[in-house]
Amino acid sequence: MSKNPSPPLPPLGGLEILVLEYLWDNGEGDVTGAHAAVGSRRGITLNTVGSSLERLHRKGLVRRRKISHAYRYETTVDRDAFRARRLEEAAGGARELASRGLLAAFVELVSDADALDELEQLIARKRGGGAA
Amino acid sequence: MTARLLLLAVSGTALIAFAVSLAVAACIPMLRRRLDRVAPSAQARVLLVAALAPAFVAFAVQAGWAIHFHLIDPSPQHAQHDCPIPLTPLLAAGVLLLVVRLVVASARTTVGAWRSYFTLRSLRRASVPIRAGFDLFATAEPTAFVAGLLRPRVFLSRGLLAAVDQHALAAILAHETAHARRRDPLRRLLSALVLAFHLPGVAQMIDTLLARAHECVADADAARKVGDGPRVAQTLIQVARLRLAPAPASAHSAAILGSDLDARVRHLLAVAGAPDAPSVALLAAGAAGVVVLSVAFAVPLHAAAELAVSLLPL
Repeated sequence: MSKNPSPPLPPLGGLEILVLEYLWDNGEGDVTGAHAAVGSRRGITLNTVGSSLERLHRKGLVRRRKISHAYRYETTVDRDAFRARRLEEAAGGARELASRGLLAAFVELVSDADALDELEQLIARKRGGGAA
Repeated sequence: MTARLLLLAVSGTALIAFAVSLAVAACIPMLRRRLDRVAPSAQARVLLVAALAPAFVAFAVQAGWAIHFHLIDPSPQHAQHDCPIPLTPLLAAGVLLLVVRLVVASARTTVGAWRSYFTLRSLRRASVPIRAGFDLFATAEPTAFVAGLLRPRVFLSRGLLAAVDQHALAAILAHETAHARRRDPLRRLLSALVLAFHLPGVAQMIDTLLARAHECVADADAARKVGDGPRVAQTLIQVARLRLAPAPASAHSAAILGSDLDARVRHLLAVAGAPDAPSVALLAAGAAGVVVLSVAFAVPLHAAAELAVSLLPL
């Protein structure tokens, strides 16, 4: 597995993820648009959505440009790349938990296919014996 | 005064814990033979007792001394903790070993709990919850696991879901749900703490056996739930084969190690009707018995400890 050279993703809250999804869906947007899309139905104020966009900007996940008196935001990372990095980071965390014995996996890695053949024969004999 | 009392307590703990650990190590070959004949849940209980024994006996015996010499038969000598046990170099090395092991185990437990919390959070964000009771992890790697300590979650990869039929999926889910219900990741984390009271090699042996016992318990639960032990065994082989597939195994799969597959399959095929003893009540009674005996035999145990220290080389 190649090593991911990208810096780790910053921790994100639920609202920040929703705002990112809004920006990915629309290409770009402003605070009012983001509030209408994700804030209104959650009963969140315009300022809270604005703070969320500000935090995303500080975390480097959105860039902004000023048009008249308002900022317009667009993401710096596309949705698929973001999801792939998130998945890779989660898998990396799982790897570390496994190395600490804190992950209960269904089955171990087996390097010896012959051993699997033997076990399969054992199961077949058991089934045969049970049926007899 | 407090420092001397603390030193006495730690040296007493080291002396008793390592002696019990040696006794457990001596019993392990016999234990392994017998454990293969009992139900996995009984195996896990016995191994838990083996893991806890040094810490429990050390604290019970010292509690017995404290109760006897301070409450039942208080004398000025004991009240001043004027214990003649000399801190020989070997005992001092034992004390140092115990302290280092406890500090390292505590740090590892804290870091493990911290990592577990944040990894579970990132795994859940990278997964889709499925109504069948698991989170779908969107990777092609065929894998299934339980992560999290207090509220563990079952994760299945998209690769595994695509590769198995509904019967195998039921067996996998039953196995992982058993791990989650028993909070096995939390058990492993806490067992690492109590295993710090064992001598290093003995702790590793018990940890390996305990990990395997946890897997066997989850396998047995899955066999009960799907009503077919050989089917669960077949699913284990099927998933193991998927992970042997021509596609190179990733570092992810290389890191996720379960326990001895051979032993698990043989247990699934042979375990039906195996005795499920000792019971939890019996173990609790045994623990209470150790405490009572520690108080009743506080004086001879104290004399034995003094004799043991005087016989230590150096």
